[in-house]
Amino acid sequence: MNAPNKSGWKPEMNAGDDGMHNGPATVTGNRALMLEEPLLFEIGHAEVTGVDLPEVGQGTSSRLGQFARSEPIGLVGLTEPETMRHYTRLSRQNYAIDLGLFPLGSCTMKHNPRRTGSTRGCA
Amino acid sequence: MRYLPLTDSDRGEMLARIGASSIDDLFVDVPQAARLNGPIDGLPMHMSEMAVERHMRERSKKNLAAADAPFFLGAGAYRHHVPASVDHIIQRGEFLTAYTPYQPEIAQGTLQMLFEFQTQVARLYGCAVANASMYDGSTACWEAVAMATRVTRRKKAVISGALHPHYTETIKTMAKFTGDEIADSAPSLQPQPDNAGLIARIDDQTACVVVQYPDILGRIPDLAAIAEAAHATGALLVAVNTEPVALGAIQSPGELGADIVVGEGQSIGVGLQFGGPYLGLFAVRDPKHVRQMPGRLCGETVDAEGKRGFVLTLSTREQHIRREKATSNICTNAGLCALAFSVHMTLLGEKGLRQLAAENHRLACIAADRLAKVPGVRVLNDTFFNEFTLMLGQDARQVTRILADRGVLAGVSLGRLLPDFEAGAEALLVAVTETTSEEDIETLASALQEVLA
Repeated sequence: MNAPNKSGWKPEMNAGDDGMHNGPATVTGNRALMLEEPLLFEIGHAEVTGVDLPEVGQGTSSRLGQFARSEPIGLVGLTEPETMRHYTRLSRQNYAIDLGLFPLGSCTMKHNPRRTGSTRGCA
Repeated sequence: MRYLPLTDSDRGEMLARIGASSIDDLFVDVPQAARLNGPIDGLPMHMSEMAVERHMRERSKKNLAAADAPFFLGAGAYRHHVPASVDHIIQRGEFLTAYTPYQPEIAQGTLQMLFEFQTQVARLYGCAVANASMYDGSTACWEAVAMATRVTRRKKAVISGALHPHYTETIKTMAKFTGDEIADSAPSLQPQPDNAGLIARIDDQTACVVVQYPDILGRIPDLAAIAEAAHATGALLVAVNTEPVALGAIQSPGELGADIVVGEGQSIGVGLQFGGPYLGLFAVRDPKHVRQMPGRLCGETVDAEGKRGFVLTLSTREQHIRREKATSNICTNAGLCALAFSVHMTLLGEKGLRQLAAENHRLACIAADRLAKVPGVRVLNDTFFNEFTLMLGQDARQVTRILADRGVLAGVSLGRLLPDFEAGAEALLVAVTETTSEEDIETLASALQEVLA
């Protein structure tokens, strides 16, 4: 496996001194707060789920006829903390109005009071 | 004003710099008569957030919410439990307030999310390629018809009578302007979908056959047989799904030979939301059709340093080229709803979706068996997933009205969707999900028994 500092780069050296284009490699691929996030399908598993649902019972009646699924769908799941982490890390790769000025978009860049987002679910 | 960042002294400084004495000086070119002086007639002044909350809470008391009653409504919009983390993620400002991802350098979060969403939809539908979403199921359905006419160079769409009537209406509305021929029919009220009748309507002028799976009455049509018949005449099969949870229990339309698979994604992650916004899903089985797809595609690429990145791709299909050459002029998507779908699907995963589907089906079977015991009630369906049709022997619109007054939301009457279809007046569509308790089922059964007696 990878040694923690394979290239032998030290802080007093300049980025690129080891012949790499953009400074030394890191173990995680992250560089300070610049995150590398793998694809969901690279980190998820078919047998992992982040919800609590009953196990599928055997021998229960079915009205699915000949159409019942027998083959896997090909989806993958993450646990709840892994899901939060995956999407929070992705969110940090976006620039957005909440981060600063965005002088674009006659169609979408209006001010929307935060309350409107939660009122839509008003029971 | 809470959202205007400039102070009076900021304004004064800006006016002084440009040599204007007041803001009115900036409008001297607008004739006095055309100016708005004072508030807009009939539009109340703005209210504080606290006052708005109070107002909306009062208004909402006039609704009977799904969570506050035994609830069996479906017909294209389904009540499912949405994990709290879904809402938490979609409210993050970096997703909620990002611009459309035209600049990939500052939108990798949205673009990677869409790339993953497309893979989830493609796998769910049994297809090779899915797009980055459409407005909703009905408009996605129209886009599938339009795409089929481009691929086949034919003008006729044969629509199953058991397609959701709102979807059929959307197709007809759009076809008014394109001149395509839309051949629809009334639904057949039989225990099984009329596969043979639909196949008989396909001819060598047919661009596509549009079939809902499961259909509006909850029955599961034989897509493989319809696909074979469509392909024999050179037509495409468009499969429409309004309940994606079903695909955790039944075979995917792509596996069964559908060429274009479209549907409503609301069930996963989005919630009922008083009717919208919802989420259109769109996928094609054969990658050769990718350039005829509407909407956006997100693709994988590498940046100048060779690192993986994501971009909107193959955009020569869409609005960046001449309007008449574009495959569609839907240039935005339902991005935040797509994120909600993708997060919920990530939480479910293969295992959770299969469990969710099994639980929906188990409870629906219990409900169908229990309701069939109510005197005068007949369950129409031979097959169903989580929604089935009851024949009540009485006008279902009246029965649902009476039950609603008793605080039981019994289902959607077919007469509400098809007011002119008299033969269907006694049909009631009943949807059951994991949020339905066995107590709810018992409440519905006993209330129905009293009302029908």
